[in-house]
Amino acid sequence: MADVDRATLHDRLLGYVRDDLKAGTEAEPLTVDSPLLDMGVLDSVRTARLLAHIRSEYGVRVPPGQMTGEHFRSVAAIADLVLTLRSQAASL
Amino acid sequence: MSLYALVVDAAARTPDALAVSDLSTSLSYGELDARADRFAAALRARGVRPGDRVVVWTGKTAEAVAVAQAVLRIGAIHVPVPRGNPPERVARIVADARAALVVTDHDGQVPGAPSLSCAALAHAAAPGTRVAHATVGAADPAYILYTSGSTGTPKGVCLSHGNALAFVDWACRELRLTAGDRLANHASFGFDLSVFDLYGAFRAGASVHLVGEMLAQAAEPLVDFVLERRITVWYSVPSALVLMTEYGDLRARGPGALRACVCAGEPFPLNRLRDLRRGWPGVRMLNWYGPTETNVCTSYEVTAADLDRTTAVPIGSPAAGNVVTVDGGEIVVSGPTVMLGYWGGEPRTGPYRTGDLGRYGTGGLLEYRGRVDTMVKLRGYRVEPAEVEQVLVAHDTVRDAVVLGVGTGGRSCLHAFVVPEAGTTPEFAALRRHCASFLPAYMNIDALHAVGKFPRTRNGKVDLAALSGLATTGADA
Repeated sequence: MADVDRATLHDRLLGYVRDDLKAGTEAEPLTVDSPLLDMGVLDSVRTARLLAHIRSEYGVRVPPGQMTGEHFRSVAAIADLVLTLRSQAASL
Repeated sequence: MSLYALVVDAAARTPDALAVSDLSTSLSYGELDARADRFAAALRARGVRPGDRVVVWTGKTAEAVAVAQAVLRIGAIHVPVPRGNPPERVARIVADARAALVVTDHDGQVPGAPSLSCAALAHAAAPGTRVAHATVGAADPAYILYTSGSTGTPKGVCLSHGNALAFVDWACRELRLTAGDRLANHASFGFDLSVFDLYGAFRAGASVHLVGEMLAQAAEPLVDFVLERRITVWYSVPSALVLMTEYGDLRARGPGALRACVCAGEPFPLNRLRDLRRGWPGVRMLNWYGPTETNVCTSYEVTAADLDRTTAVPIGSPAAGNVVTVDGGEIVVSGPTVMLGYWGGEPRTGPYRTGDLGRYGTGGLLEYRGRVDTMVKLRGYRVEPAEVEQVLVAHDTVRDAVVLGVGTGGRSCLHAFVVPEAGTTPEFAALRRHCASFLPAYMNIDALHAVGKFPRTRNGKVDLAALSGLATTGADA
């Protein structure tokens, strides 16, 4: 995909985390601001799958220096990271 | 000889050499030494006395390492608690340790405990401030590591300066660490694997590269990290290496600068171990064994001779000056690395019974044969099912709960069997969320089974074997 706006990215990442990584409940649906780390969503296998998804869908690899709790605390934070990495890749 | 002297000595020898590096900050030995002294002065100014417990509830940062050094320099006891622990659990640790102070690097609060941020601590003493270092003996406590407790409350394993140094001296010799080495620190600071990464590096004047909690479970970036940082010595639970192999192409992309790869904490799946051994003939591989109470007490070097093996590699021969025997099938350890005791309990006397089953096999090498009790090892972490069960039964939808470890090695996971409260339906995601509020992530449940009642044995106890059967037939709620 050539470019992606923030709102679309939020929707698509939210769908992935909710449906493929099975986060959120009926009583407490997942939102872009849900605290993924506090909810215990991102264990090692889910993290590996999420990174593979980001690489195949959005064409960016997350470098080790960006693997912080800050960047993965919510879907919105992950979307920001993806957008930053995509703009860095585009400017190379 | 004190544990804190390792950094003091390295700073005197090579002040400009890199000591510790996290994702954003690097400190030379001179800088780490100065920062530790400044923090030590600030801790004293806050009234922390020798023997006091200081809970350091932080991420894996160079700053937190400096705080730990400061705690030791004033003769206080370091209680590392990984940032990922929820406040409720930290509060129980703080209460058990009767901590004088909690040092944090985030917004989390422990109600009722005096706490201070790393930043505030840095401001509490001027740069260049130094205080006299406390005189400590080998038998004085250095740190307390909290592990899952079978009574449902975290249990503090108290280790002395002498315990740590006996292990570190042995490990440095065994791996022939030099100032040129670059160690990765994958384990959390609350896990005894970190004792080698940090203090082994400090003793050798080498550098240690901290892997944060998020990076620690991100397979592909972790492989990048090993290569970019030119890591020479890696130490982790086998499941981290398995994950890096499966999702990060570790074997083909490595070994980079790696010259030694050490595993501990759980059995290494044989096929994966053989793959790595075959793929990296120039890298030494060691299988270490020891519960937190003893740190490493046996060691086995995996060689080309193990490529044809069809059974698990042994845990090997006694290490670090310990005597390791098998009594009634149980592994029993005595020697210089065995803990002082559990914090708040009676001092340990006599050999330590591990609760692990073992057997001396061919060639006099010790083999690991499982557990005496229901304790579970998950990716190297100890989990007492009782601690998880107590959290589950506190949820509105759960009347009774039994938790079991299912599977082995990197595939092991926690299954919860719950009897629902009348008129409610326990939801997996909701219970995971609930557990995450009280337990660290590695203790969270991986599967949920709702049952009308628990199967019982003839004498009325819950039939764990029958429940385990339910888990493997996939009768999910």
